[in-house]
Amino acid sequence: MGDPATDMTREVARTVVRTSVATFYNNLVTRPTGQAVRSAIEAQLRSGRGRCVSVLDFSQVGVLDFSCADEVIAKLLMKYLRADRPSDAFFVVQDASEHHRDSIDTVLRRHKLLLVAVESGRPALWGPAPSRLRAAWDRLDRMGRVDASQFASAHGVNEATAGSWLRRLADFRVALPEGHGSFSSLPAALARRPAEPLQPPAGPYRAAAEQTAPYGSDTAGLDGQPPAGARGVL
Amino acid sequence: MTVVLPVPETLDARGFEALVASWSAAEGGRALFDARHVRWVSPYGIVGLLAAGAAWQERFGERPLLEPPESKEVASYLSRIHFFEHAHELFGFEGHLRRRSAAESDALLEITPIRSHQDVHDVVDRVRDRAAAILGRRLGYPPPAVLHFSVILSEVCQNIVEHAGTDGWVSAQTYNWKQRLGRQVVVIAVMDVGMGFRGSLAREHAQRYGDRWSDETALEAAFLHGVSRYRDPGRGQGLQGIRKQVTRWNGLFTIRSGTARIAEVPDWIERDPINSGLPDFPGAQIQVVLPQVVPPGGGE
Repeated sequence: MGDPATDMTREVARTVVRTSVATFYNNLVTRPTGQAVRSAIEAQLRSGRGRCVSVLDFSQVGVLDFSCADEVIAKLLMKYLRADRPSDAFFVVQDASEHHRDSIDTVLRRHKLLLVAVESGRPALWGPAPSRLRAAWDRLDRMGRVDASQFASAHGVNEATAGSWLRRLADFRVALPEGHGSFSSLPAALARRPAEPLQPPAGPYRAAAEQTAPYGSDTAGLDGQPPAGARGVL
Repeated sequence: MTVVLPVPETLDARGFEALVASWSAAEGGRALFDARHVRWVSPYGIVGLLAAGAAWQERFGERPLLEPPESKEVASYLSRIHFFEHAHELFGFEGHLRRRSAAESDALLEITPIRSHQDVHDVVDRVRDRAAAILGRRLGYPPPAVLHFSVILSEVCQNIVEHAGTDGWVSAQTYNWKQRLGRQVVVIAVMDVGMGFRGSLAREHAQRYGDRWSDETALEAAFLHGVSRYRDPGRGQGLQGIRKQVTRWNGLFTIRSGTARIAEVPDWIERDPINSGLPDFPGAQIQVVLPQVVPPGGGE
């Protein structure tokens, strides 16, 4: 039996990109600021190759208004939900406060988006998920990595239904399709391979990538077709 | 001929309406805003006086005169909140007047012009420590309230930059609202004399409303339905978010634009949620009133 982490990383994601979402402004207010933050995050993602998990660290952020949350979070998620997304990135919010959550949740609801957050080490699904989909995400989060058959047994549904829920979660990019019909929760994927520090890029934007880690082989495969842009699925 | 516009003794939201009625009825000429008898001002009223001066100049192309309040206490307060500094850009004065007081202001936010997104950043940065002290110690709000308050401030100020098509002002102050509430309140006033909600939304939405398109329907569309002038579906969340937060805090949130006013009305004040047929005044005038928290049992 191989190392589960190695097995997972071979097929899942090659990099974890950690971004401190604090700029020269501690307070993330106004749309232009949000656009600048989003551009910097996208620039980091462009510099990587293949699939990655982008961890957006809010620990240094003071105020986050709705306009900025819309520009940073909603527009980022929507862009990477599209079939023509620039790269295969998944997003996780980390260390967001209750206040940040209010602003982020408002924009998620507006656009019917879902987002994985890690609050005090505990994963949570943010956004307007229907109760059954949320229950499916909770189950996947507890199990870490599953295929449809395992999920069906644990959840008390048939395999086709289990597969459909897992694919829906992946369509929203709150679950990682790993290949061979397996899916992994984003926190589980992160837990298996901590990021290693690299040099942050130069530039006026302080919120640069803090860490980027090599993450698995270059021959990573995807499970089936790319998500077909999940907007409007809810 | 000089047109005298009397500034009401109590220059609050009601006083501003009285001033707007005179402003709206005027037919031009040299204007004198007579504020000699002003005894009390609220942030909304005093920012409104600046707006009225700016709107006069915009409407008639002539710089109005201002007779400042005779009350030393009021004049001193106006100096401390930088009123005269901005008034000098809009009004003519007879005689010398000290623009800014050397005394420290105790205002939550002195009158501050909003011209750009950077101004919004500056306001949010500047207000944080004072807001923490005032909201926490004086009004009994929990510590995270200062962040929510800053979001309200940011979003109402951005309304000017994004929609007015001109500059505006913001001010915030806390005071004891004895008559109406018997409690302390914090009041935010944000005003501009730009295109107003009807003007801002017209290009994208007027056709859909047909003959019903008015200041009232424009305000309803933005305030109740989150409609924006931009096609970007992410726009229009600011006012919705403010409504939600102000409601959580049992506060009052009003927007006046053109001939209409719409409000999120708390239980402690009697007011129609929407008014139309008001004297016409350009731009948007926003007021947020957040009351002191009453602990369980009703004690203060």
